[in-house]
Amino acid sequence: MATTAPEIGIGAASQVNPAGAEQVRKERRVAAMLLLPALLFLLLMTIFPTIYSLWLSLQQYNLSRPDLASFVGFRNYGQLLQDDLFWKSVRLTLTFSFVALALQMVIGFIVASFFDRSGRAIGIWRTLFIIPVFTSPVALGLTWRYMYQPGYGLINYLLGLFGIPPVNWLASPDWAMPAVIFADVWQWTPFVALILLAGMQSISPEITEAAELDGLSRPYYLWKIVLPLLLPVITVVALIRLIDALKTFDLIYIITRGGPGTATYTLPLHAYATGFNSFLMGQSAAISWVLVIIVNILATIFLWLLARGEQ
Amino acid sequence: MDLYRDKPAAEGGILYGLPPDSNCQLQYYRIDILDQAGIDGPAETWDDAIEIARTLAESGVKQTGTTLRRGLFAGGVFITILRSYGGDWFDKMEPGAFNPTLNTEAGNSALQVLIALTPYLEDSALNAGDDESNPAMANGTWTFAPVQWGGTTMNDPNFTEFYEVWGTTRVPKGNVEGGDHRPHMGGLGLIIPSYSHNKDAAWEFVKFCNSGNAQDPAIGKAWVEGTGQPARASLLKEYAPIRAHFAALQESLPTAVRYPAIPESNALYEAVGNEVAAVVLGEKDAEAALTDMEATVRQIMQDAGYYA
Repeated sequence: MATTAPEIGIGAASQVNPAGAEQVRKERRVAAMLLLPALLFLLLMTIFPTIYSLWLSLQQYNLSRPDLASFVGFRNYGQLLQDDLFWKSVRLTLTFSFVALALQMVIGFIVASFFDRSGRAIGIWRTLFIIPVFTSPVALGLTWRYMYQPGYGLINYLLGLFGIPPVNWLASPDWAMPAVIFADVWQWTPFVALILLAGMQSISPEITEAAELDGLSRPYYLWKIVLPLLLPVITVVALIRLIDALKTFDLIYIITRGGPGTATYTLPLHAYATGFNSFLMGQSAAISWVLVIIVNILATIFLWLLARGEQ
Repeated sequence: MDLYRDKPAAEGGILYGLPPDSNCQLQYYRIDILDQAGIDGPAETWDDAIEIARTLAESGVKQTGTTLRRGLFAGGVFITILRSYGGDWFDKMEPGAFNPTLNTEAGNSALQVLIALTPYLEDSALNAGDDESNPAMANGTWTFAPVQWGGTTMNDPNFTEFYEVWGTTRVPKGNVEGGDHRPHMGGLGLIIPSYSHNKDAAWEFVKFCNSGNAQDPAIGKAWVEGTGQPARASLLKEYAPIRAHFAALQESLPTAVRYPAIPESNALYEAVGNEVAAVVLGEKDAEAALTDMEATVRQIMQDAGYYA
């Protein structure tokens, strides 16, 4: 059945109150005018670059010779699938992201449960604990780089106090990845703890009091009551951190530059080096789009888990 | 300037402008440390360099370094050694050629040098670029660096307490017939891209910057008293007493080799450098790395239309 304007009342409203309809139109124009700057900004800064990068990924485009750019279809993607270094980058990206995420969630939960109490001292500790989140990743990366230095770095000095021989953190293929993961965990665990703490403090006091009356131990209370109640919050914070970890560039670039060899050469670094060291912008865009696809697949899985948990 | 002026013409090129600043890779060594270790001067050949690195490591502390970070740095070191054994990127750099010549005896020799050198390299060398190598040399961690870009830092008391004992000479050469000292050539040049929208204005600017005035000895002095390294050979000679590495620069530049003058140059070094890093870290053997780097270089050139 066709629906006409009078049936849904628009025409009727106009006939009944022309001044009101004019007012509605005017309000819509104002709304459109107010939205326009934001829409233009979005179009210029997000939508256009996104579409352009997709177009670029289908091009043979050397930044040194843009005049020789040509359309090559999906060739850049095909070459990536046959490239060992690309697959190694995918593996390293997932390793970095999931190990860092797991550590941040576990440590963040423990820290949040510690901070989930009242008192002035706790307030001061909470404030101090959150500081790393506000630090620039570049400044943080440089600081960790110096702390990891084999000759004069703080880490080896501290290990030396316990008689542990120095480790060449950033030049060892075995230790470079744990070193950058540790730096990332140091920076972002406070963020996770803060969100989980907010979740814990939103748990109804009746539940907490009931647990106390039943004489539940603290670990049992956290494991059996707090954790299930926090699952939606945990899923959301894990999703935010996972997306961020998958596209981490600055911290790794500053600390190891992807080395030694390709031991910390994650996809964002691969995209950067291909684009801005080799000037192969088409291939760089293709790598970036693969990263976008991976992020979207994982985000979809997380959102599905979240929806299922709510059901 | 004489070298930069004559070289393009000698290779059949056309002179469009002159760089105001010159540079190339040099061999850096601590005179005092080599004396203490009983080593008779810096390395003439790569075999000497390996022997010096081994002797220094026998003290119990590895002191040799070079920039082996993946990509451009490792690629640059490898190509310098490859060229010193008589090899190069391609058979010829002209239409119809550009066939990679990396999987060759010279290529293998270059990788074998790096494999032999690696056990004696100070650990940070495996992920070092200039940001790591310069502090390591300045603070005394590295005392021998067979391939390092020229610069004033190591002879400047503002940067290192060892400014009086850093010596410089040419990079080692391959110990084979046709082997030579073949550092990469650098410097600051002024060029006009073929797709420039205003070539005439650019050309006027290039002429001004490279005119007699810009290369005037008085300006040259100010340049040198900063951190500049003039392109004019006579100025390098004149200021050698206050810049210890100028003599080595002057000696090295005649056999120095430029980066391939093609847009794909960076991509080539990046690709080769990844393979070299894999070899020195023991992730790949030399044969596989040479095969893979040659295939990747061919692919890059093919994608860019060189074999059409």
